[in-house]
Order: sequence, then C-alpha cells, then structure tokens
Amino acid sequence: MPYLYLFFGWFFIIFFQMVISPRLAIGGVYPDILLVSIAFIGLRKGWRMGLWFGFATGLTIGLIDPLNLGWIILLISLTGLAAGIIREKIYVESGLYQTVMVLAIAFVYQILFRFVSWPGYFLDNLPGSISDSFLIAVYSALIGGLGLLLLRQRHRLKELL
Amino acid sequence: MWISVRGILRSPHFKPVSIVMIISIIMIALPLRFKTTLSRLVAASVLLPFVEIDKYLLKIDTTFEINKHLNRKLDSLSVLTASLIEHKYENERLRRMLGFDLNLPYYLVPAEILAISPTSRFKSILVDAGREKRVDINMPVISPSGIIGKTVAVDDKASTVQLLLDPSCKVAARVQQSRASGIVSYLGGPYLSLKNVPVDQHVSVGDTVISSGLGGIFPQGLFIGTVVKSERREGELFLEILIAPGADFSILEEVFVIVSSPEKQ
Repeated sequence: MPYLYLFFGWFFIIFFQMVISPRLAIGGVYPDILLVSIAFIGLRKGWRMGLWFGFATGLTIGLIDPLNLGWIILLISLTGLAAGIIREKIYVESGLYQTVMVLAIAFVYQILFRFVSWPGYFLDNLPGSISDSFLIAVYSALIGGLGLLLLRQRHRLKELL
Repeated sequence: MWISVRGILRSPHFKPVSIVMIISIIMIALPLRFKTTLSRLVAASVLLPFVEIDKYLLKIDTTFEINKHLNRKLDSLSVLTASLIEHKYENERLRRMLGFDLNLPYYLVPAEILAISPTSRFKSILVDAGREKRVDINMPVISPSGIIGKTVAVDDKASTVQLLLDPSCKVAARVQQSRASGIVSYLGGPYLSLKNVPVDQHVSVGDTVISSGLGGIFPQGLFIGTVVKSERREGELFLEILIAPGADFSILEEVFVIVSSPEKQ
C-alpha cells in the first residue's frame, strides 16, 4: 500500500476520533471510531497492517491522554493483531460478519480498557461497566458497519449523485 | 513445553508483538510528569490542526446557545448583583465584628484547554498552566459552572487534569440545604453520586451539592452539581443520591486552577 494511503488513513482515523466522535454522542455514549477502524483494517488487511496501524494511531491518540498512555498503545495494537489473526483463521467476506466481529472485538477492548484504567471502579460497578462497554461497542460497530456499507456502495452512490 | 516456547519464538507474530509490548511497557512506566510534557508537545505540534478544528467547531456549536443563555442570565444577574452588593458590605461588616479573616487563601489561574482525551470519554484534559504559573499537583480545577477536577501531573507549561468523570477522582462534599456530608464520585453515564450520606439525613431533588473542604484538596463552597435523585432503600445504611454535575464537560474551553496563595501557607 503506498505510503500516501497510509498517511491519509492515519489522518482520517485521528480526525474522526478527535473531531467527529464526540459529536456523535447519544446519552453520553461515544462511538470509538479509532477502535472500529483498527479492527476493520485488521480484518481486511491482515494482522501486520492491523498491528502497526494500531500502534501508530494508538501512539498518536495515547499521547494526548497521559493517564492511559501505554495501555492505549498496547490494547489498540493488540486489537489490530487479534482482528488480523481472526482474518487468517476464520475469514468470511461478508459485511455483516465483519461488523459482528468488530462488535465482539470492541466489546472485549472496552472491558480490558476499563479494567486496566480503573480496576477498582470496574470491579465495584461490574454490571454498569459491562453494560457501558457493550453500549459503546454496539454503537461503535454500528457506525463502523455503516461506514463499511457506504464504502462498498460508493460506486452506486456516485451514480445516484 | 520447550516445543511450544520454540513455536512461539518462531511465530511470525513474535517479533512485532514484542516490539509493541516493550514500547508500551516503557510508556506505561514513564513518570506522569514526563508523559504530560510529551502530551503538551504533541498537542502543540502533530495534533494541533485536529485540536484547532475541534475548538472551532465547538465554538460554532455552542455560541448561539450560550449567547441566548447569557443574555437571559445577564438580565437576572443585574438585579441580583444590586442586592448582593448590599449583602457583601453587610457580610464584611459582620465578619469584621466576629473577627473572621476575609483574605482567601488561594487565587485563580486561568488556563486554556490544549487537548481533551479522546479515548477515555473525557476523563482527563491537558491545560496550558504549569509550574511557571505556580500550579502543582492536587490543585482543584473549576469552571464558572462548577468543579471540573484536579491536577494530577504538572510540568513547566502544562498540567494533566483528572476530571470528575474519572472514577478515581473523589470530592468531599456537602448538601448546601441539609448540610449532609458525603463523598462525590463518578457513577456512570452523565451522573455523579454522593455516597456515605446516612439514611436519617434529608436530601431532596433540586438540592445543591458543594465541596465541604474536608478532603484537603478542594476548598469548601465550590459548586459541584444538583441532586436529581435521592432514594432510601430498605436495609441500606446510606442514601442513594444522584447528582447532575454543574459543569458541562463536553463544552469545556477555559478553566481555572485554584492555586494556594504562598503568603497564606
């Protein structure tokens, strides 16, 4: 993949995470666009791309969150790796399948992120933490699935426009 | 066992994953002050375009609403100010009679937000006030609408502020009307909770929650939020109290760090 594509990929992911994501909040639930993007990249381009793209974007975003810097890099990179390994083992070329996979990956990520960031709060409010993680994962996967659908239908959209 | 270890070592994933893990562990282990400096540099360089776009959109989002709200507030405040001036003089006179010291032991340092944590749902922010402006760790941070959080790491030019929405940020608080004391912490969603208030205390919906000054970080009397739910549960020793925070964490632009006055220390 040319480096220019990689740069634009990085740019748009950071842009969506920092600028668009907070504006899509519903009742305090924000879609984690960075997470779903990395999961989709891992699922579509393989573990190597998922891992390194996760590392680059995780490092950039993590650097403005000093309290969680390091954990974000590690978890986002491993998310890309996990998605890539899933692609190798059980890949199915279906948008719905990929969206469900992203939902599962996002849910696990949210649980792990909450656990490492605030272990005491996580264990004290286990049902609340799990439901919050699930809501964010569902919302993020929906946004990701919608993005994927638009990406796949872009030629038809062009014709319509 | 040996075969599986060798298998792991020969796996194509081993080398890149090890590199990522080593870098991540180094980042986790870095002192928070150093991470704050790194954050400041990144927010002021690589991420500056994103931060500026975000701020610009935030201004557009909020200007109209804020303008309308401020105009309404201005009208009511002008009436209130006139009566408060009178009360102030009366208060000063009475305090002098009682021997109270009127000089506050702190002053406010205005700070602009450099970056908001985009991954942890507004749990921390980076502000442009650091040691050069006498800011230190564990100093309260407020906005005109209430307590925002406290500083947890400081470098020369910037500080990391842990917001009230971070579950590990706790404030000793008091209900202004009933004087019931407790601990405010994040509950989940948009709410905070006031814990450790015994069931025999009377707390109603709409009551104001302020800092009690007992925790040693936040001075007393700072506005935290308003009670939106107060419930007695059978068999429980404490009330279940939900608070809507006064500050809107999604539209923060400028905040104030409460800095202890050196001559008072």
